[in-house]
Amino acid sequence: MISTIFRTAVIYVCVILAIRIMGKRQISDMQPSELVITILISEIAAIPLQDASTPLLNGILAIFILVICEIVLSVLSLKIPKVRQAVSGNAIIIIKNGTIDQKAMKKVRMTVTELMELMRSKDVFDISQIDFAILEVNGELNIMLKNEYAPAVKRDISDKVASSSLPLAVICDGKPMQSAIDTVGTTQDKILSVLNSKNIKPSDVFLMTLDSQGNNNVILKDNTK
Amino acid sequence: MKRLIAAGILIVLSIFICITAKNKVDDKTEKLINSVNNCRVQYNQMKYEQSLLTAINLEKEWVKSEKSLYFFVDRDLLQSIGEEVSLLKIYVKERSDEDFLSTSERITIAVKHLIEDESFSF
Repeated sequence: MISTIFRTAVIYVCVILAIRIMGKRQISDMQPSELVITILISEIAAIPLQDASTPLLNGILAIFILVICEIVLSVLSLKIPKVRQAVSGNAIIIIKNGTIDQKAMKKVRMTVTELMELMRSKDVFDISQIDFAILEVNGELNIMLKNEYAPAVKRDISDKVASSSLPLAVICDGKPMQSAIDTVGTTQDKILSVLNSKNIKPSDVFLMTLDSQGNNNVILKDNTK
Repeated sequence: MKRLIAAGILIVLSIFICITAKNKVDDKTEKLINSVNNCRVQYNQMKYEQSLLTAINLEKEWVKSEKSLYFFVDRDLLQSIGEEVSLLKIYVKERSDEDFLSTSERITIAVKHLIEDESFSF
């Protein structure tokens, strides 16, 4: 029983390590090779857990080798476009200048129903509104609407659009987040003076966000309200 | 770059594990085969006392070896070799020629399987 606990813990650590080394991605964003590796790792990790007679090292070694293959392949894909093309494939234009490319649809074995489904997932219900639709290598459909149907942006209304800045959490649960403070370009003293001006103690702050333009938002802990 | 370094470390680690496993298995199995052969020669020469001593020492050695081999080799295979090794001394005591010879042969074959498992194959 103890060995089961130990083996499970070791395999868990190895799988986490493997996933971290491979990089963070959601399943839907994975390239085909990454998806294959992820499925293989989960399968291989299960073998030493199910069968106590299998040496733990066999599973660990297999996971290591898969991670190495994935890293080598991703580096090669990055450096050599042909490798990337062979491993991941190419994005395919399904709708070009408002016309469905039926050959392309046959090539990717996509039915009209699937195309309509993917369009609806992008909040497009009328095919005549689409100028271009591209099927990405991860199976996602990206749509460019015709100019007359494209949503208006601030730039369409005015030439002068103020640049926005990203608010970051500078205090979380009463504790200052130094990396966020550095990114925003301020100091702990300045943040304290902002809080002092509002008669708030830093320890009472549940969350304080601040952007590079000085806009802040303070949420107090429940027991201090 | 970090990922490449991680891959490099994993490659080195994997090679190290493979070499260690191969060396360990080769070393332990060679000792086992030699002891079984010695035991068989002594038995055939009717030096039963010496043969019994060799079989007892062989069992003790194997128990030690087994533990370190658990890291690299299938546990079931090691346990089956262990069972055969422990039978060897009983057959020497009983002077059971047929059983002794067949058991020592089974050990040799099982060890060969073990070595084959660790060598490169498709």
